[in-house]
Amino acid sequence: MILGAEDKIVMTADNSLTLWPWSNVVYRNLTHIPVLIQNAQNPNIEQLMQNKPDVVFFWTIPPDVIQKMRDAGIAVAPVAMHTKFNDTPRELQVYADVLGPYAQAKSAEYAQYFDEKLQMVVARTGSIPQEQRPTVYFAVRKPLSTTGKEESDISDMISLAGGRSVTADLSGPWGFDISMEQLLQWNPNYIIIDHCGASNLGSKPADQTLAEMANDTRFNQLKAMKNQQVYISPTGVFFWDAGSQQILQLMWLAKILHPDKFEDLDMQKEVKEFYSKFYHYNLTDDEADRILKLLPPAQTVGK
Amino acid sequence: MDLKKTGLIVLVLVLLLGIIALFAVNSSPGNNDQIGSNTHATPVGLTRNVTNLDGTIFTVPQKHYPDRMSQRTLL
Repeated sequence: MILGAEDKIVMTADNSLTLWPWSNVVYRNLTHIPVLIQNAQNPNIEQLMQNKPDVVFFWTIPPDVIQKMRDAGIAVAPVAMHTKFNDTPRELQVYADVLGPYAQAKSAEYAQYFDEKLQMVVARTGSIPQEQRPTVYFAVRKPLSTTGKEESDISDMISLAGGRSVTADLSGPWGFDISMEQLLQWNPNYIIIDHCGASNLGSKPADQTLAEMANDTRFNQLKAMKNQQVYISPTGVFFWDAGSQQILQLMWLAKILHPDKFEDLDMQKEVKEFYSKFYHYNLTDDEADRILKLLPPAQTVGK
Repeated sequence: MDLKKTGLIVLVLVLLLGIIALFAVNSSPGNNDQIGSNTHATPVGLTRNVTNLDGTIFTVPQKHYPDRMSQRTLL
C-alpha cells in the first residue's frame, strides 16, 4: 500500500487478520481478497496458483517454501533482510523495483521522509557519550526471548535512539530464548517488548505479560522493573520492529530514553502524519492513541 | 519541381524515422513496464532481474499476465 499498489494485491496472509488487526482497517481491500492459509509455515501452493499472482513477496524462512513456489513456476520476491537501520528505505526500494516506476517514486518519497526523521533524532542523540546512554533490552514475543545480531537491526536502532543494546553482540536467530540469569546479569535500564499479543507466536497479551512480570520476584530484581521502565511496543499495520513503520519506533524509543531531548516530539501527531502520508488513512486522535497503546481498532473489540 | 519532390521525400523519411523511433521506445523492456499496468503490450514471459539487499538476484515478470485486469475486477 505504501508503494501505491494496494489494488494489485490478489492474496494476503492469514496472519494479517490476527497479528496486526489495524491492517484490516487501514488497508480497506484486505478484507475482500482471498487469504492464504498457513501463510508463513506451509502455504498451499495450489491455492496460491489459482489466484495467479504475478509475483509473491515471501519470507526467506523457512527456505524450502520459496523453492517450492519457484518449482511451481511462481516468481518470488524474497523479503529483504537487513541488519542496519539505515537500510530500511533500501528494503522498500527492492519491493518498488519489483513493482515498477510508480512504486519507485513512492519509495523515494518514503526515503526522504525517513532521512528527515532519522536526522532529527540523531541530531539530538548522536553526541551522547556511551557512558551516559541507558542500557536497553529489546524482547520479542515474550520477556525472555530476543533476537541475535544476524537477523535484526534492533541494536542499531537502539544506538541511534541514544541507548546501548545489551544484546548488541549476541548471536542467534529471531526470537530465541534467553535465561533469566542472563537478563539479571544485563540488568538493563529499559525493557522493550515487541510482538505482544501475537498468540500464534507464543506471545501473551500486553497486560498479561506485564502482570506476570510484576508477579515474578526474579523480574522485580531488575532496575527496569523497579523504575517502571518496561514498555510494550506499539503495533500498527505491522509490528514496529521491522518494515516501514520502524522509523516510528525509532522516534518512540528516543522519546522514552531521552524525554528531555524530545519534549516537542508528539508521537500521536507523528503516527497520524505517517498514516496519512503513506497509507492515505486519516487516523482520529483516538485511533492513533489506540495504536500507541497496542490496542486493537475500537470496531473490532468484542468481535 | 525537383526541390518540391526532394522536400516531400525528406518529409516522408523523417516521418518514417519518427514512427520507427516511437515503436522502438515502446517495445523496449525499459522502466515503463510496471507489474499491474496495462499501458502497452509486452510479450508474456518476459522477465527482468531485481537485486536484493544482500546482493542476490531474483527474477520477476516484466509485466502482468493478460487476464490480470479481469481478475482484479472480479475481486
